[in-house]
Amino acid sequence: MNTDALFKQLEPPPGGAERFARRLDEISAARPSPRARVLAIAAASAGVALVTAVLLLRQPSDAPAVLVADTPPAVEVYDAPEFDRLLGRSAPPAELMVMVNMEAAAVTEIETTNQNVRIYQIN
Amino acid sequence: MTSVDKAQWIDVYRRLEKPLYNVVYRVIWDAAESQDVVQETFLRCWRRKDDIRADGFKALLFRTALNLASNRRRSARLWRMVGVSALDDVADESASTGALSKPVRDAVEALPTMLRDVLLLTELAGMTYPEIATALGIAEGTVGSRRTRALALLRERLDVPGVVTHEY
Repeated sequence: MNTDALFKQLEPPPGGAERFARRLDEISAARPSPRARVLAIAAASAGVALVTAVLLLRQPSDAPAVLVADTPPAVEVYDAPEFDRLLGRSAPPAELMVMVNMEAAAVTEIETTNQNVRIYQIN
Repeated sequence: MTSVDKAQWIDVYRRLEKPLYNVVYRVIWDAAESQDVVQETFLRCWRRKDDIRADGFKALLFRTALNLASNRRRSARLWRMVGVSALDDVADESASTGALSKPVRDAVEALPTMLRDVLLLTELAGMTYPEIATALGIAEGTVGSRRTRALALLRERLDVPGVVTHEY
């Protein structure tokens, strides 16, 4: 058998290049430009970011709204000495104890004209 | 796509259409299908044009063509199994001027795919061993050994004392 036939170069059907050119045109026309693709991607990303932000910031609709004013603090909070000045109460007198060299020392209160100031003398 | 880009791609198509067609034709044995595969090959590469390196273009082109041709061939076989003949057993020799005889086709068909691909690329695509090695993902030395084995099988199948091929 003639082995030349094995690797004989066959001619492709005519018109291949013209058909290829037409297909290139069709695809190019259907394909969005790079600029349009970038804009579309940017718009989509912005949309996703907006929806995410809204979902994160929005209060859950099925949970009851809790207002701070509707939940009064426990009564004992008002009795705390820290609230005395805030609530206009006069602080109850407290016994003063002074330690000098690890021993209790006697003190004498000195009178002042300012009722908010107390002065003691260590004896 | 600019008109320059388009003109360049069409120019490359004109230069490589024939070797690509000859390689693909010897896989699927149908002129119209082969031309379609060649076009699809170029269109796929065109879509990836931004990622293609110039020195690897030819290898990618023939690798893509062989993959597409193998897919078509597999698809045709499946259709034949269910009784619908997409690619007839007897190739449409009328569509391709000077198509190959059945003994030649049978000899090529009998080759294992890995040997057939190497043989088609060395004998019909005009590719160098390094280009073929890149296209098929094998070592250059493997290209040579597979070509030798493929030629020996063909020689045996066609019962000829020697097969004249290009020297590299």
